[in-house]
Amino acid sequence: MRAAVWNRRVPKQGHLLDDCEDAAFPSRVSRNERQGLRIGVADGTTEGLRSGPWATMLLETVCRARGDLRLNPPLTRAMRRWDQYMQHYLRERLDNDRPIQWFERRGLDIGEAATLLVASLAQGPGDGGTWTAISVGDCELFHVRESSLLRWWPIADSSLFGRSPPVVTSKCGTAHEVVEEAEFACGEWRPGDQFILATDAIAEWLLSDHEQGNTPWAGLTTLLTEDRSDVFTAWVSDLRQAGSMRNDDVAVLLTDLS
Amino acid sequence: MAYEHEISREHPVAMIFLIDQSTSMEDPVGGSEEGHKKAEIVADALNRLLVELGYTAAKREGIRDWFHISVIGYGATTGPAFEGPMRDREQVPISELAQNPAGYEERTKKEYDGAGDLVEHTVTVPVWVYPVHNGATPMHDAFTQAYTIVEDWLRRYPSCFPPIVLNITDGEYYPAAQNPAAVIESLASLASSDGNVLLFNLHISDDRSAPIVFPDSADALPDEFARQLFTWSSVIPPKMREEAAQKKFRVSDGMRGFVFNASIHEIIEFLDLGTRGATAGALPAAEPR
Repeated sequence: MRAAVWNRRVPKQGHLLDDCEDAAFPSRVSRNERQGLRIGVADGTTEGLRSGPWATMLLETVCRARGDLRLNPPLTRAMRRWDQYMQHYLRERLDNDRPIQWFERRGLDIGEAATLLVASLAQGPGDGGTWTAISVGDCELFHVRESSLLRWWPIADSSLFGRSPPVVTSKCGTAHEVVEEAEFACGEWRPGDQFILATDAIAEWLLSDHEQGNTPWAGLTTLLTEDRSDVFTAWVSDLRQAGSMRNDDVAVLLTDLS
Repeated sequence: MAYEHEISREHPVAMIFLIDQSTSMEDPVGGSEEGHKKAEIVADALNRLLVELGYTAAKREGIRDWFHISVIGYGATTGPAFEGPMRDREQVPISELAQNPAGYEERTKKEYDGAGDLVEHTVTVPVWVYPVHNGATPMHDAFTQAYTIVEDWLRRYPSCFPPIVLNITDGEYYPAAQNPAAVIESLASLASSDGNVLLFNLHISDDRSAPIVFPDSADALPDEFARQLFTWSSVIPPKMREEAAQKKFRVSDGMRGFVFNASIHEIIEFLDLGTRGATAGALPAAEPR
């Protein structure tokens, strides 16, 4: 299986890339020949104080886990790593005379939260193979074949975005509840297929565009494979200004399989 | 569709609270077992709301200036009601407010622990407004100041989510010669590109009469004063109606942001709906379950 992966992250309008709470894995462009590949996106919630780093840690832990794609035990591992990370962070704040302020207290008590979508692509005995995916929340997977949308999952209709989705929280002890909220899907892929994983704001636009009879996939491929990231950023900015896309962080990942 | 614009640091929302500080606010709230004074209940509810707004806008080591807050007290004098470092400030961004409370108070909080037992613990919370009960009810002056604040705000942020004005009073305006009707009408006519200013009124009860909450008609209101406050209150926009429905209020298309004969519970719900209703759907959100 040859896989080429590109991804882009764009923060909310007026924010810096460091503020972007959406994550993508792998985080860098890669072109590989391999038996299997794991890809994913995650979206930290705005209410969190450090939801961006949680989204990244969660995504990486699930994607890098060995064996079959599953949410637990990687989720429990991520929660423990996050606990250690926060203990270090709080110690550092105290040591640098930057104590936690009253308005940060509730966010710290509640913990962080993120939506998550991870797909695992495996080489089959022939030219193609199989895919499995796990989702908690409203990130979206688009399976494209010959510039046509073959399947979209888990959100069936663009009108279903914007509601309070289930999320993965960083608090230890909630793992079993999260697993109950998770959705699973699987399918087959052929050489030439594309998988696009997207966080909610851009996913909503893509699905809505498809519902209107358009085929945004070729154009999106051109944008994502462009060397200069500012081309994609400008495209997102134009859509936001036109009111076509919500002003929210964006993470999108494109995988070309051959 | 109106009342849809996003709230952000670049496009914050103005919230203006007008609080009656007349002498009669020293009387207990109707239905208060402990005999809490109306002024105490209102100050406490307002401080709690400001804490909630701080939590909502909090980020790592800071607060996003999504909200700019005004609290105008009207009684012996009319003017900004913040105490402490924010004293005399007519409008304050939430980040500055959060960093400069007038003081801190301890509250007892009950929460379930991991074993399912209800445990009490003490939390320290900031306060910005203290109870005051002295003088007449110069509602006209309060709304005049609100008009000035809103007019200036709309000049600076013409495409904002419309400003929200919440008036809390326990009685009719006085002096009687200073009818606020004209200035209220002018205030209600101000608008951003996203809709007219939202004007909500809450009347605090002296007795245990049943409250009238978010009515859609003046028919059942007991007197001329109540009917007046009703007409001075904006129709609740659709997103706020959805919030009200989720809170199990009876909702209708023409329901207004008006509560008559409110007790403690309605005061808190009124403030919550009047402000959270503005942020529901206007802030990017995905709340943990």
